[in-house]
Amino acid sequence: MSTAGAELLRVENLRTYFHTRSGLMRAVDGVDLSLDAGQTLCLVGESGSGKSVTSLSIMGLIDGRGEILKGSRIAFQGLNLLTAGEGTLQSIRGNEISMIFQEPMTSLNPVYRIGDQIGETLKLHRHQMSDRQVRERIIEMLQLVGIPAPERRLGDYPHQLSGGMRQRVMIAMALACEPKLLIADEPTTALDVTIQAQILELMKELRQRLDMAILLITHDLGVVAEMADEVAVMYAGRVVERGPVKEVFESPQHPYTEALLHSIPILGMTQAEPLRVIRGMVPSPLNWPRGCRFASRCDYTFDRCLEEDPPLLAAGEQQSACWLCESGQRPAVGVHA
Amino acid sequence: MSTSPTSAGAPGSTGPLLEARELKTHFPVRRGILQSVVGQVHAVDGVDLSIMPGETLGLVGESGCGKSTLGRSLLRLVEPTAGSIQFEGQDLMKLRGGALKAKRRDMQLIFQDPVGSLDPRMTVRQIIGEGLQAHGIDRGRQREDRVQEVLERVGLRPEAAGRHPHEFSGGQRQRIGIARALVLRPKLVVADEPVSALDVSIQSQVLNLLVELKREFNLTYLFVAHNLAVVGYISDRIAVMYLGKVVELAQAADLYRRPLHPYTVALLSAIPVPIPGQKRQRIVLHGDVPSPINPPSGCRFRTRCPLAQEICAEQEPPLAEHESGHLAACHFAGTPFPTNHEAVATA
Repeated sequence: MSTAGAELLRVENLRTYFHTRSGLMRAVDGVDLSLDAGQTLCLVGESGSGKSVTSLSIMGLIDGRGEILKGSRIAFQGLNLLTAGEGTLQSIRGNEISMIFQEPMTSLNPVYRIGDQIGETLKLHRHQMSDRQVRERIIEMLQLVGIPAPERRLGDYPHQLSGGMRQRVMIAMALACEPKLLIADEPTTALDVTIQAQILELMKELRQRLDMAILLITHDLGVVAEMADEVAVMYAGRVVERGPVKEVFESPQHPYTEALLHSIPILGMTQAEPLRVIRGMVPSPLNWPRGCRFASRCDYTFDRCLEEDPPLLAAGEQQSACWLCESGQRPAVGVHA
Repeated sequence: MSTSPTSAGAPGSTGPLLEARELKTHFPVRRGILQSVVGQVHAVDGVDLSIMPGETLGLVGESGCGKSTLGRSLLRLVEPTAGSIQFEGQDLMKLRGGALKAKRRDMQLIFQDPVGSLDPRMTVRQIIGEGLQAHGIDRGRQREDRVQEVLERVGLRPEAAGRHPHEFSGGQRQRIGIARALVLRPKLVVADEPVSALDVSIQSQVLNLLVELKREFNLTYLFVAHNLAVVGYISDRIAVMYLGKVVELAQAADLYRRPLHPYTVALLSAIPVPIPGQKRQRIVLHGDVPSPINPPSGCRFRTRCPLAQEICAEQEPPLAEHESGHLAACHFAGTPFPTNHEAVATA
């Protein structure tokens, strides 16, 4: 479905496990993704589905307790990041791939002025720039993300800014080196809806202007519909469905995607239409169930689901990890048809 | 000027269950070693609101607009600075000590945070039974029966009674919070962001439960939340708050079909709709919400409003009825936005 061209990122069989006191936590357990240059891929899922750990794995930010298993592959422009040396990684991180987080207050350093924090990235990756050029670039970036009077804002500390402004500073910092890939982990979840609208509009505008790809992690299906070209739905450490956003929303192929789309109230809906309930709870990553991990909550479960774990199967324009899709697309189960 | 369809306000079965007039809740801002008061946070700043028996009134607004403070002020869990609150025709502001406590049995609160609002050292039985104990309702076997009954009703197993909150998931903890509120058989339940901490698939379980319980126990809800789609789903009428004031009040359907206040229009247009490729106009509000310590003169929304004129800085628009049962506080209520305005983007 790509219009923008070459494949930028490919994740294959990513498995990231954590050794915890309660046992081995298989947070990400065989994830496949791909993202073309200039495109936006939304990674959707509920808490505990492994979407954040997937993004942290791509950034190489898994700490000592975590382990990315052998056989996992994360290729950025053809280069496997998991086998690349620390030097190569440092030249890519913050430069060609950068990341913004949900909570801008905890991601910004409270004791440094925002100008210096943006400048830090530039000084690390753009050694040839003079101090004056760095300063000019910082002002340019603050202007780009819509911070008024940037010359005066340079010297502000994070606590002097509102939540929306802080998220803009985070974005300015992430984009200072014009990355080819921006990973945004729930970038608007902590913000009010009118501020969220500002940030989403800003991200759309910058995506076009800088021609970058975005990997957007969110639980908000409204944000997905608005931002995504492609979508990957995660459940219990796996991608259970992926495909172009329109197709996934109009004809979800995995029962989990279908149930998720039916369980949220849409603006203007009333109690006359009861919300679909997904019974039970997400299973624990300490002990994933055998067979399909959604089987115990699924309306369509049959014997095979409890025995065998379905791989991602081709279903029309999508792929779905559901045995119902073994012979291609399921009959239309549109949500808003 | 009244905010309810039945405006008599007289005590009796046809009047509102709860009615607030000119309600204000200010918090002092203290500074320096002497902690002298240097200003006031105008969290709730002159609100008229009626809640009819059996209805669900939704209260929406962004963070800091005063919706939670208003919800708590109505139950006098936060002491209002001024104004009156009538509950079943009785002036709550005049009640003291035991009389207020007795009245609280009829008014319960469900909290947003299912972790922070349940004491981790108590068992579920103690958490739910605490209200019964405080009000001296039932003892021993009867109290246990009552606890079991309400647990079953909110969808928890009987053995849950002996466990502690940390043994439950977020959705189940919220069920415990609901059980605690319901065990007293209240008339009014203020639900403060009851589903916003929950995952999407769990949200619908709790929303459906709240709808069922309301029917079954003939409850009246004040449903406080920031998510307009959720509020609209559950509410009969909706009040929109901005900087301590109610700026619009209408039947849920009317509010969506024809919002009159420019803030409501912007708020509705800002919500991402889960339908890919849907073209619609979005009003992108510039700037942030001003500080409630020093709110703007006149209309509080004027600093961000694409329709603002001189009069908006000079005169505060009253919350007036523009259509039947549809109130808005705006000098230009219902005026369409200029389509060439810089604030209008096509999303």
